[in-house]
Amino acid sequence: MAMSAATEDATLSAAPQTDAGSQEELRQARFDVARLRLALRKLTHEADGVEALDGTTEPVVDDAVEFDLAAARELLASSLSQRLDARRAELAADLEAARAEAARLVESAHRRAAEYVAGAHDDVFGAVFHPDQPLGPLPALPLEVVADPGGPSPSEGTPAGEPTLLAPSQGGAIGFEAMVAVMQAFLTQAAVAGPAPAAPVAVVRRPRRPLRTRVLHADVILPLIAVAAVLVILIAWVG
Amino acid sequence: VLTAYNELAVMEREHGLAIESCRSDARDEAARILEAAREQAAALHARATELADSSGLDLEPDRSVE
Repeated sequence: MAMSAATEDATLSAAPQTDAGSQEELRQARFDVARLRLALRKLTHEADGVEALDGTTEPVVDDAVEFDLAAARELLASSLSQRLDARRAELAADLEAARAEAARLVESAHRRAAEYVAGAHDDVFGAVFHPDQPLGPLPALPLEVVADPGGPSPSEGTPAGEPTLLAPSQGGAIGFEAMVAVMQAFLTQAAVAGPAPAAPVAVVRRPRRPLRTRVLHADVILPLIAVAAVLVILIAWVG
Repeated sequence: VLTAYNELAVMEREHGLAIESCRSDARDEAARILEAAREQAAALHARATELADSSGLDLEPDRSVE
């Protein structure tokens, strides 16, 4: 048996070590061979003991202790290698999760920064175009960021129905320069026209008044009354 | 066994350092981004107030009242 095992070892050792997959298969094969070899030795010992008790044969002196030690060493090395590989894979997965969390943290910071700058733009535009809306102080921006679990993707913008003058993605230096240019043009017009802005440049959505209110307005009802009076006079004069 | 134990200890220590470095870098980057946004918004406010003052407009009536 020792000779056959040695032959197996020589065969496995001489196997071409091409790549990592072959290495893993070779190590697994050695592990299996060592485990089977130990199991075989254990059964052989038990069989020898039974035969010695029956008196059929003489007790066999174990002449393969060194071989058993080598097999046990091989088994232990294979087991430790497998445990190390498994732990290495666990740590790699853990590191990958930490990197994903860090990426979410930075992405959340980018989103909050864009929202903050866009809010500042809105405040300035509101103060410029609406005199009744003063420019308040800047709100505090906490520098501590907590990553949103499974937050929205960067492609998602501001929610619909909430028009912003500058998109958050334009909140960089280019957006700032564009903002200053628009303000300079507006303020130049305002300075030429007078202290109070004549008409807001920004698009203002005014609610439409009902038809009855619009008809009863003095600008509409007075010309209608005048036309009716002229018609009555003409009819009376013709008649 | 000792070799494997030592290798495992080195692996765990390097893993802990890598995790901490990754988190620290992310925190620093997030703080830098937010600080830049705060500075940009402050510059925008200052520039708007400056332009308004030079044009005779008052964007902060509360401040003028005070």
